[in-house]
Amino acid sequence: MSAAVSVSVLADGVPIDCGGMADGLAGCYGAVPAVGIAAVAVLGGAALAGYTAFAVLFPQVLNALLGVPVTTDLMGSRRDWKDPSTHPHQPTRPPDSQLAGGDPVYHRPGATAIGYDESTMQNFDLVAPEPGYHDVVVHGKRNGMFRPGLIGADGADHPSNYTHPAQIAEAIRGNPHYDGGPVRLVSCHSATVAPDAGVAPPAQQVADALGVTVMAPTNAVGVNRYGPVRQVPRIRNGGQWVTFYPGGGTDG
Amino acid sequence: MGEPALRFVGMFRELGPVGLGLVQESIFDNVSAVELPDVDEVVRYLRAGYVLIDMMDLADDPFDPARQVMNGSTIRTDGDWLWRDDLAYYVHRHRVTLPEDFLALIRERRYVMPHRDEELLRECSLVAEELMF
Repeated sequence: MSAAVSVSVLADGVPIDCGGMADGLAGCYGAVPAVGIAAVAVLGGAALAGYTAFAVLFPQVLNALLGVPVTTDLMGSRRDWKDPSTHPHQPTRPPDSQLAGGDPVYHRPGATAIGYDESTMQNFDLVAPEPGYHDVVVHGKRNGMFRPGLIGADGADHPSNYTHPAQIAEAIRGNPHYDGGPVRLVSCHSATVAPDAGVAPPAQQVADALGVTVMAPTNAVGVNRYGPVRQVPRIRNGGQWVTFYPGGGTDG
Repeated sequence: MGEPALRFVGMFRELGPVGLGLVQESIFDNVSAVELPDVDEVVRYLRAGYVLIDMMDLADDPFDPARQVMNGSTIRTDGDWLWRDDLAYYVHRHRVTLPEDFLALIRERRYVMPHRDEELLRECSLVAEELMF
């Protein structure tokens, strides 16, 4: 044995440069470690393949269970689609106040608007006042919350933060023109709530928070852009206005 | 002037019932396997339509119920066709298809919304009211 070889082998016969997986598989440490490392590699590979298959197939299984057609994709058909609401335009109309989450609030005598999407602003401007009521224009949701609108990077209307009815009540109190009287919510679906929401309709929660009666629609509500400047907002699909009383009870 | 002869698009049954006796197809039956080559221009045309009815509306995306679409039932027109505001979103996001003759008209106009006078739009808005309320 030459001197060059002798310095590369330890006393127990293991070459000094052993250490990597390739060395183990090559028998650098003898037969038993080589089998062990190979087994770990095979099992690891199988686990990775299994995880990948699960990640790819599980959404499709879910789609099938939920009845979503296979031609659709829950993440969207368009791969380069980016959520325009994450980079919204600033409101062109300067707000009078804002919610804690940053959503703009607008005041005028007899009305408060929260959010600045196009429909919110149009309804704020066009709705005829209901005598004795303070109008509040903001988007409602069937889960018992509100969701003000914004203008996204694409120039379209998009929902902003989920907002608790207590924050809406606070915004109404913050309007210096609000005299503490009854409120009409020009707010989609705010007289209803999903059966599994576990809370009262948004209008009931506002009535409780303010201690006043609140009138609200059971469905989407809107105005005709070519109608009169002051017009009664109309409710979709035969919906109606419901009046909520503090502590419970409704008319309508 | 008589009632304008409008055609309707995007009134899918998953997005809620409408009036005027329209037959509503499923949105899931109107999805293309491939994206329009000029989808950005077509979407820009749809978003440039004249608003007739401003709806306060917040609804779940039928393809992705975790996502909400705002003011989708707002109604727009180009004076010939009348569509929901969320049609642009569904075409852009989920490859929802448009009728061939509407698509041909959009391309013929080179994606530019034609000028419409206020009188025509007012008449269209009355049709839109019948459709939505």
